[in-house]
Amino acid sequence: MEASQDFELVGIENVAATEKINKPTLTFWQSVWHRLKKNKLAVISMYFLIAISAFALVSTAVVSQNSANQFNTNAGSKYKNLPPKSGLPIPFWDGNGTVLGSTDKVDVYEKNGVDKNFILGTDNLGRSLGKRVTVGLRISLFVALAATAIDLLFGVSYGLVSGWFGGWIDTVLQRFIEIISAIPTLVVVTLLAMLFGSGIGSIILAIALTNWVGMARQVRNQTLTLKERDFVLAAKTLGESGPKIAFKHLVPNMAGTIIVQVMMTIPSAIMFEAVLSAINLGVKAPTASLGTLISDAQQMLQYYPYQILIPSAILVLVSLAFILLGDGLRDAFDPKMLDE
Amino acid sequence: MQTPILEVKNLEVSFATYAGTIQAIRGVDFQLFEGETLAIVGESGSGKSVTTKTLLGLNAANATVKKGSQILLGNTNLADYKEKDWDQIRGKKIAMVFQDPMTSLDPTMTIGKQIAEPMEKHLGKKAKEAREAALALMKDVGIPDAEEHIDDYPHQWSGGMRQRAVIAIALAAEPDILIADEPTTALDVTIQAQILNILKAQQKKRKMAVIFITHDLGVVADVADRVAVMYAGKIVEKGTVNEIFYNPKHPYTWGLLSSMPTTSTALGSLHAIPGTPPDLLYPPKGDAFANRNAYALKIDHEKQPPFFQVSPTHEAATWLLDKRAPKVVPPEEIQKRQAYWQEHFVKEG
Amino acid sequence: MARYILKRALILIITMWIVVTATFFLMQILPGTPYNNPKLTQSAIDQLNATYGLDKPVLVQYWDYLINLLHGDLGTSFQYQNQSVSTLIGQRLPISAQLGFQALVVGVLLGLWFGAVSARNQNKKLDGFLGVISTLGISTPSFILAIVLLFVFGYQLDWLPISGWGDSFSQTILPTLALAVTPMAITTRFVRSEMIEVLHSDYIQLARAKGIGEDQVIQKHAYRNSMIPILTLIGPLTAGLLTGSTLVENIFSIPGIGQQFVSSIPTKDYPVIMGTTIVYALMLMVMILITDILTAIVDPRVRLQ
Repeated sequence: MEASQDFELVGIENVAATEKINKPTLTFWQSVWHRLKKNKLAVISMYFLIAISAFALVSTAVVSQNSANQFNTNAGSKYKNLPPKSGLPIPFWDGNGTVLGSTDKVDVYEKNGVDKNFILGTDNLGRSLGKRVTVGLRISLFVALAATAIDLLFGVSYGLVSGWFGGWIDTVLQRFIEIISAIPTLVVVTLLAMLFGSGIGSIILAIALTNWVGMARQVRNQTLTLKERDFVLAAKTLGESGPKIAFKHLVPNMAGTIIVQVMMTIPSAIMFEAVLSAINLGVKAPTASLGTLISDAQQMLQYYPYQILIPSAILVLVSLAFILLGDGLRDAFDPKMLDE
Repeated sequence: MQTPILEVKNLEVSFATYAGTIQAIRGVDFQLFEGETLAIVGESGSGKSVTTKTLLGLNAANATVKKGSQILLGNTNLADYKEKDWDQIRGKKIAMVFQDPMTSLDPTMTIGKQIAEPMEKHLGKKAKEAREAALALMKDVGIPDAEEHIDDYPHQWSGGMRQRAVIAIALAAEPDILIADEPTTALDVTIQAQILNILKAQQKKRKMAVIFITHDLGVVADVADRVAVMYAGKIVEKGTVNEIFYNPKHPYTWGLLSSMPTTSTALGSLHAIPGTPPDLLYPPKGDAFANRNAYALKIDHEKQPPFFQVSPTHEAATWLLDKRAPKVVPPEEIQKRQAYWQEHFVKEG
Repeated sequence: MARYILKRALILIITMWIVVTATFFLMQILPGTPYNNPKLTQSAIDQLNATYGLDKPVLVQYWDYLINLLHGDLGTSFQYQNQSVSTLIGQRLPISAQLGFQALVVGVLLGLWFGAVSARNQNKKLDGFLGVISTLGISTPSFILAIVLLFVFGYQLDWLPISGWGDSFSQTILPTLALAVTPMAITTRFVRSEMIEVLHSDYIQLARAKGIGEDQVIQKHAYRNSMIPILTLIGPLTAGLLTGSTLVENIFSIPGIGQQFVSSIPTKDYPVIMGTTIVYALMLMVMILITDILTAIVDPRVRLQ
């Protein structure tokens, strides 16, 4: 039973104690990271992409483009079309395969008298696919990242200008986007690639010039919303210049949208590189990219499927990781879908 | 005393979230009698909306009604209902008027069809009959030129008109109980009175019991017979509208009334209640209001107060009503109200 | 309605004119000539130029091209002598159209189904499984999928024909599947998020409060509202299909316009490239126009003006 001193009037006490149990306040980026961490697939994808990028960077010092291109014209037939061999008794990774003119599975390495193991096998010129894929991944990532960087610059500026100025400028810029969108992307990329000629630079430009539309649209819509917000109006009233407002107030507030859009643009650029290679507008032989590796091996699909399936799998995995990370970031930036 | 048509006993509802379990409703009891209007008052987050959604089984999937909770409608306990059982209750026994008419109507279905839908389901009306009945109902809730507008889509209507349509949908299957969840909050002040009048007129005509959810004490004074004041997932005080307005006992009710602008009494100045409601992820062990309560006793911080009976119709959960508690002097605004109470209600008996 | 369609048709014509003009002048500045054969003498080249009208001033050529275009004449192929581009495209268009249509229908229908199932089972195992499928689907370009399908069902299992068109329906299965997966994946993700939003909307809560049963709530209220926005997706999906079909047609040796487009690139057959560009743009714009009109018909909120 309560004692009578319990009924002493004390009023509001212990405020500090009750405030403590409230959730700790996180900054915007901390809370984004906090929510992203809960999405395991996104986190795995992020680490995978970091590892892949590190691998691509480090490999520049180890595997040069030349060493991946070289093949021995004399001993070519000995090293030709060797299946992947891990050196361990793992099925489909033991160097066993069929040779032309026979359907029996034999250890092709033994038969040809090759004493080296090629982990990912060799191509029809006897070049190590391990080296080719390493270099190809590097080139594909470089093309995709460079194209996306251009997209980022161009798309964000285009969207900002269109949304910020509005009026006839917006109308003209949006009409232009509509016209561009009326032509299938492949045709635009093809025409541009033909215009610029072959080479990595022109592929990057061709991909960048077709991919920026999505970014420009997103940034414009965000700008239209943000420019009516009080803090932008305040900056305007204080006489800050347009570019200053854009970079101090608008861009930081749409960082989430931009980052998510970048995550979606990169895989699309990787895919377009492959498409361009498949129609002979990609990087020129003997330079390897994931796209050229896939298109070169297409004729060999029936006999040496590993030559096409390995670069294809890598391309799909990298795209998948970007998309999963992009999904995770989108939910982390916009948490309303997560509750429940 | 008459038997209640709806009786809620020891209702507890919790929500599972990423952060933990939120105990949104922490033991709510009330009764609803035929033909009366019970107002449930409280700030946002006090659990008043969750309470009424629970009465219709409309809570989100992560909500759990705790075992032992009772929602007695006649002889059935709705707290035990499975999803498929609810269809016999919703619309037919208990219907609901939602808060925001701008988003509550299906944008791709004509208003006439939306009103006719519950009639076809619960009253067994054929499409043509239901359309006629919907038309009559639209006129009943004051939609002008209903014949011309029955095939309109919601976006063609104003907020006030849409809220009439929402009311018509709620009335369509002739429910015994109508829950009005802040039905005027989203509307212009000029429209609010019209909507309240429609609700009052329909209640009288149909002899429905109404549970009126609001945070607006002005509206309460206008519509309610009895009032329950909710705070942090609990009812802290309930009584007739006069008892709550002129003889309140709980310090939270004092705070609410002091923060309400009045024109009729024009007494004193406005007072805000300091602080914020507790986080129901970690409900306090004592009285949830203690940390905002200038009249808190030591025990308020330690132990939850039971209900103390003030009159047969009036009870409040505050240790101030314990006989061991010191006599406290309520805020000036409340003193004036209590004086009015002594003068007008106590003398007459 | 008629006025809206007329206005949109006018915009379409203007956009087409801009596309035609842009492509025409782009072709003018593209490097290389169609006559790369070093054995061609100057007089032979002059004669060819005269045949194709390439000796006239550029503006005259442009004017001729526009006039001919109005008669449905897209010029003559460089590669296939004496073959008009219209005839070439006319022969191949029905094949590509059938393939694209099959893929779009299969992809969108599956996507609608998967997306709705996913949304109704939000955060359950089935939703997770369909999520993995659809994310894999958008990460895999259709030509890689075509290669995998060709390898598994063509070479390894030998269940389905690996190339050709028009001999049997079974020839269309693998290319259709290869093309359908991307629209399927995009539609699934789109429908899922649309439907989750709709299921959390106030009007669905009100429909539930009517006591008409969950099935009725979904069928009469949720589906309609979450399906309407899908129409806006048809345009971009078609654009994606046009891109995908070129390579998929190539892989399965299907004589469609995509394959022709690919083969005209190395031979610098500019009239064919231009003709294909124009036909693609027209198809895409007509598709977008049709879906916009359909949206206006099924969504009462869209006002036509």
